[in-house]
Amino acid sequence: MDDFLLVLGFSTLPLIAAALFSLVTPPLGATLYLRQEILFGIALPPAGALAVAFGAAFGLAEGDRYLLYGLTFLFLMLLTWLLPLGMRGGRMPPRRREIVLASVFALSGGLTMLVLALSPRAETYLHYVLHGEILAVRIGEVWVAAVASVMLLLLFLWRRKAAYAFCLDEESLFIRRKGYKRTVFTYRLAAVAIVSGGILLIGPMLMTTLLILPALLGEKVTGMDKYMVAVAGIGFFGTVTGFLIALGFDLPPSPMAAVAVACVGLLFRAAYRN
Amino acid sequence: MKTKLLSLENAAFGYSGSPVVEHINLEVESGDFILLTGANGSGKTTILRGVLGLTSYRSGKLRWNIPLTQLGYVPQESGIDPSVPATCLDVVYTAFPFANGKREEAAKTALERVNLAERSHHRFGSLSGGQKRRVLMARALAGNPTMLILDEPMANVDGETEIALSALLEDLRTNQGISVLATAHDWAWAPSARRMLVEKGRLHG
Repeated sequence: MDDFLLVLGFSTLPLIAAALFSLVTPPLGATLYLRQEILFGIALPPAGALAVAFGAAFGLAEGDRYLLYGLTFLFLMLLTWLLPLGMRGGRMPPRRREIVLASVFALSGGLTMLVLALSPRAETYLHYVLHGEILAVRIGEVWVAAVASVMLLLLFLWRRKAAYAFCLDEESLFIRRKGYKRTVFTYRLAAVAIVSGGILLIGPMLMTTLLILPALLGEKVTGMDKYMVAVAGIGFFGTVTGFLIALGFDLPPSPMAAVAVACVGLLFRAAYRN
Repeated sequence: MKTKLLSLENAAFGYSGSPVVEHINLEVESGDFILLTGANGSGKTTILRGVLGLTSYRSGKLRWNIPLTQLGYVPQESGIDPSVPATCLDVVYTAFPFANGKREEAAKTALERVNLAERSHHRFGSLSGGQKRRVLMARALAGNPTMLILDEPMANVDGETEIALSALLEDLRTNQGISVLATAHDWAWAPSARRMLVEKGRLHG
């Protein structure tokens, strides 16, 4: 027990970071799922990991990592802007969208491995992140993540009806013109901010898990507000539980949290009655 | 006094390549009820989607004299995935995405007008095709529209619902001055509508 408390003392910051991201990431995954763009959840984390590897190869991971966050954010923003997924210019048919996003996933993974092979500095830095260790979080980063998470949650609470309209029936929002472009831009900005921060703080594996599993396992709920609360709850309780188990049994936190999110989600799905 | 809401002069709409419909001349004024009829593939839906900006505008003049937020639109097919957890009320709420404060009363009243109040907390995906159409009609009405654009509003609805929706549209037009621009194969449900024939991408009448 004493050993556990000692490890927990060292792991407070990563635990807080993981808990924060487990609250904001699943609702983002749920909106992607509702928009039939869940492959974004698979494609963006590896693409972000590529930007991190590239930045680390050029020494951006040393000292404050804010430049690395900035580079990852800009890279993902550029990527989402280049993919013609909105209504303007014609919405890409689902089959084509799937293959494009799958290509981004495949290419990002390959290029990341190549950068790691070419740069020992990037390889050393990313080794732990890619293998699910999330223990190198600093207090400044946790503060930034906390402020950003609270702001994103408040923004979502305030504008959730617009987000739901965007997810459920984009055409109905588009024909109003007023507010459509702003909604698309804000949505993409929030998605990229969450994924960029998450990759560096909790790693691509847990990010992908939090984007996908709660959205799937919470879908029996009826009602949009309830669904969002359910996915955030599954993400939060799963991540915190998994993290604590990992600390207790000296396992890597990220994979353990991913498994715990699945278990909590399955329990929720089995127990939930409309 | 009637107000001009929409005017099209020699407009053409279509996808990449050649336009699907062209030389479209049409004016819609307040209180008008215009029904576009024609065979499948004649271009009725393309005209509606063109005026809404959902199909590319190729040439000619298109002028709206009302804010597009004052439009109510019911598509031919619901774009809402039936597996999503949204309730009927959630779907109606999408009529006012940027409204601050609760709009529950307006949404519930709209659902009452289409006789689906008791289904407001049911999953949208659990409804029949005709009921879904009525929920979309409720969404179109919830935002207090000046004009309704309805694509095949009576498709997949039973006889009783057709009579009720027809009476509702007539009431909206005569008592609230709401204009209606709709498409249909069958026009028996709209005896007071001005019929215009769409044939091979051209509008006649």
